[in-house]
Amino acid sequence: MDSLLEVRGLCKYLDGQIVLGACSFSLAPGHITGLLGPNGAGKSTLLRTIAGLWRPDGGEILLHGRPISRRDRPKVAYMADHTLLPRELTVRQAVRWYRDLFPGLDLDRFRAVSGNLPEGEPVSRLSKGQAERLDLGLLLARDADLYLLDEPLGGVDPVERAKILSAAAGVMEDHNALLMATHLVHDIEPILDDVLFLRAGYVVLSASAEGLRQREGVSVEEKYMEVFGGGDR
Amino acid sequence: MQFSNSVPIYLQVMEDMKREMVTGGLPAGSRVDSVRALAARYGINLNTMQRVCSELEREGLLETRRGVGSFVTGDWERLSALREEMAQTLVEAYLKGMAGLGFSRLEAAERLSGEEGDGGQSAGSQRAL
Repeated sequence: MDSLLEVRGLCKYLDGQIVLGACSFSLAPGHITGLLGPNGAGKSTLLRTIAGLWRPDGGEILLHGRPISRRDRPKVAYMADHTLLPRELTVRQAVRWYRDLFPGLDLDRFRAVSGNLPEGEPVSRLSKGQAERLDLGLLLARDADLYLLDEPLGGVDPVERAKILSAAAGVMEDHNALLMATHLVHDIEPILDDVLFLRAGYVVLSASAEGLRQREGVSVEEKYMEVFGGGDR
Repeated sequence: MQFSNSVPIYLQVMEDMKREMVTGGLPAGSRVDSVRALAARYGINLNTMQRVCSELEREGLLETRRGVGSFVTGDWERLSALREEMAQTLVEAYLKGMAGLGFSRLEAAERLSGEEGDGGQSAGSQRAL
């Protein structure tokens, strides 16, 4: 299977410090990949660099086999760990605003992921969980090839989180891929196809989640504890 | 559905669907939901659900008719064989568990006849595996 995204030897320095050191991995089309690692491992930096917000200091990023460029921006949907919507807009207005920015927004998908939201309420008055559902719903409603999520759904309770994640998994098609940085290994595990473990800027494990369970008899969470449990935090 | 950690999820979902097939939740010949809908219901990704369906197809339990959808096999013999296989698995798990505690097969069998009418026992021994 040709990879949708291929990252080869990606390096990134910030303030003279190596944040990413020669990261290499690829994402298969139709797959959801969990980007896991302790705080400071470089997860957010990796996502921001792939999203094109930061320039790499070395290595290459290939989308569909070609070096990613400014023109690919609309095909890469990136969500930071905070809301980017104008906070004074109501939910209804925010959705319209977002649809102007990203034509082709799939409203059915938006509703499936975001669930019920108070449409007349200003974004600033939403609860943390509601705001996260709004953000994630909008992002996944975009017609993108690659979705990059940085710690989604941290403010949502576990029951609701499971529901939203199922809906998010349903967004996947053969032509897109999703890479998600998260600490919520346990909750997110059932929807992951693959995992990438990042430690101090290096990929220390790249594996299929079912493969781990099948070959090693361990869950992603157990593998995580095995790899990072040694006091990396 | 809560998943056990260390068993591949596709096997756990297959097991669940098989149980539905032999207990009437998914009757013989009935239509099953789309892969997408099933994935959402189980809270797993599409690729894993796809694998569940193709494995069930390979085992002759699901039949896909192009453009129509997937159906539980209408073959009663296949379903009753499935029920037998599942029972056999439970029996083996029970015997293995008892052997692990040092009971002979005979003792294990006697123990069972002493428990007549109590349906909770075998389910418990399966979970322990």
